Amino acid sequence: MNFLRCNQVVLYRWIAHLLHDPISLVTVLVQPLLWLVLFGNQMSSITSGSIPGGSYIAFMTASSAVMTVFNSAIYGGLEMLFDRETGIFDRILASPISRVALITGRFTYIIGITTVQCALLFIGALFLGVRPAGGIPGVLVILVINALFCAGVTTVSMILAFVVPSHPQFFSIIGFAGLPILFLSSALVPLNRMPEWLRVISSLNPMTHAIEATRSLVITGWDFRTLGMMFGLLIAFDAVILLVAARIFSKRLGGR
Amino acid sequence: MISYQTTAERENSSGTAVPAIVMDKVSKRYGSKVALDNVSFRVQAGEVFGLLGPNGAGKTTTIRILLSLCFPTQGRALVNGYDVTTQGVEVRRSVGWVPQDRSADLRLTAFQNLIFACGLYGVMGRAAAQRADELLAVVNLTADRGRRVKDFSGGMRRRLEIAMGLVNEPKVIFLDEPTLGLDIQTRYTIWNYVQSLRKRGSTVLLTTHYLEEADSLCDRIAIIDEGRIKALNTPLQLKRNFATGRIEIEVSLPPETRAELLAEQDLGLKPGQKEDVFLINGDDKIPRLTRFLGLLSAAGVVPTRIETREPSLDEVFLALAGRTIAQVEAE
Repeated sequence: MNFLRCNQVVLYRWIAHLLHDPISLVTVLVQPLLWLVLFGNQMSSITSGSIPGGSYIAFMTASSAVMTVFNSAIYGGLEMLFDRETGIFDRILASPISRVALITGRFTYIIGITTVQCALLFIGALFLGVRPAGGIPGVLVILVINALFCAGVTTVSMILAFVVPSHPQFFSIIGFAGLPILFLSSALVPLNRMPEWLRVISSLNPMTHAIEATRSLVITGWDFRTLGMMFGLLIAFDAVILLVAARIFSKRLGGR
Repeated sequence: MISYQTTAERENSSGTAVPAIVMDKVSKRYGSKVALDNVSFRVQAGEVFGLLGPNGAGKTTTIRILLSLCFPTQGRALVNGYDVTTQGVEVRRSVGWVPQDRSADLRLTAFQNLIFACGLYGVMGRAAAQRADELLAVVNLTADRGRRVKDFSGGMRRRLEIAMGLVNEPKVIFLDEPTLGLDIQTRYTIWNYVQSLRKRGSTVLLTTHYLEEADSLCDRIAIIDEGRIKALNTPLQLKRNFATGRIEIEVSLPPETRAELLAEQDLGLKPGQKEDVFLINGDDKIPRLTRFLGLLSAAGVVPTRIETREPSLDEVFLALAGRTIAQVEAE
């Protein structure tokens, strides 16, 4: 059975879940707009003038896109955790389906969702007066950037879901790590306004890479140097994390 | 209709009969805990083979090894001729499994669950839809095809899970406690499915701690306790070898008389579970019963009940493990 078909099978189940669950479908679609309206309107009066490009709402549109992706992706492993707690995960593993497809199929599904979320966010931002400097091609590149970010974060979540003993630990680890990851990135404050130590840490955070690339396309336009670098860093992040996941999965699934 | 190869066809196509399952001196340790200790058995194609033992005896570990979900610490296990350690994918492709835990997705419909299960084995598109509908008919769920599994009763869900275990037309099917927690009616229905699998020539390995289940379904039974095979034979032979049946006599006596009678070596009486019950077992039951009744009638006491119990697998287990399955479970 080839790898693409394995992914298709994994996707089938998640899409069927979503279609059976109208509440999740609606919240998934409304959530990004909520981010934007709440953050953008609340903060723009306080901070206008200190932001590159001058518009805090444009600044926050980029952050909201990435934060939405992060939020959906970091819980991406949750379903696998539930599967582990029933017999479903073992049942899947007892079939010949590719183990890696369980990961890639899952993040393909989450990417599908976050791409729609991001697209809606940028449409919503239009009404708040945000005109991305990169134009429509810029927004399309933003969607690709966020897909790369989403893949890596979903994989991290799946590794977590695979190694924790049960789901309370999963929630507490994400609860514990979620905010620091946000604050140790350039989501809320531009890199050049941070103290040195914070800038160094933030520069290592994949969330910063996604945000910097997204933000450059929203505010400054086609900055190929930044884009190239951030693309490279995100691809490296994905590759490393996927290798780690494949290793952990195959090791545990053989010996367990 | 789904085609199942008969045993004979399989033998012809491969020249000689490949045993469906070979466990060759398999041990499995988790740290210092020994889950399986030097377990060996063979299951021939077309057989219904039972692993009988209490929870924690090593039944599920055996199945997990045979599904290549975990590897033996020592020894070798083959399924359909494939080595579970080195040919995991081939093993998984050729077997079906109905786990003890819930394996159906509650949020999907019966049909969607089967489509997904087909997909796991590379059966997709129209072929999958066709097979899903065939299997729904086999387990009598055609009318519930579009209902979500969360609205199913336990028995309906179990039937669906059995159908899900058959999507790849497996040569060997593992049923892990297939009737655990089900009502009598559903249990009989599932026994019927197992019988029809046998008729189609499939090999079935089932684990159970229900004695009647092992007795009525299995061609051969391995009795397993604390990771070891205690005995392996047909249910009939096991009972012949290890069980003699027993006679229960219920008679109300003063405690000291009861104690005296129980102490009488020649009579060989054993206390029953209830206060007033005596048990007699062994090959010389009848002469001993006659003597016991003679003593009672001399004392002017009449038993309230005398009952003969046929040899049972429970007795076999008791003889082999020194305690009954119910006792082990209660520990």
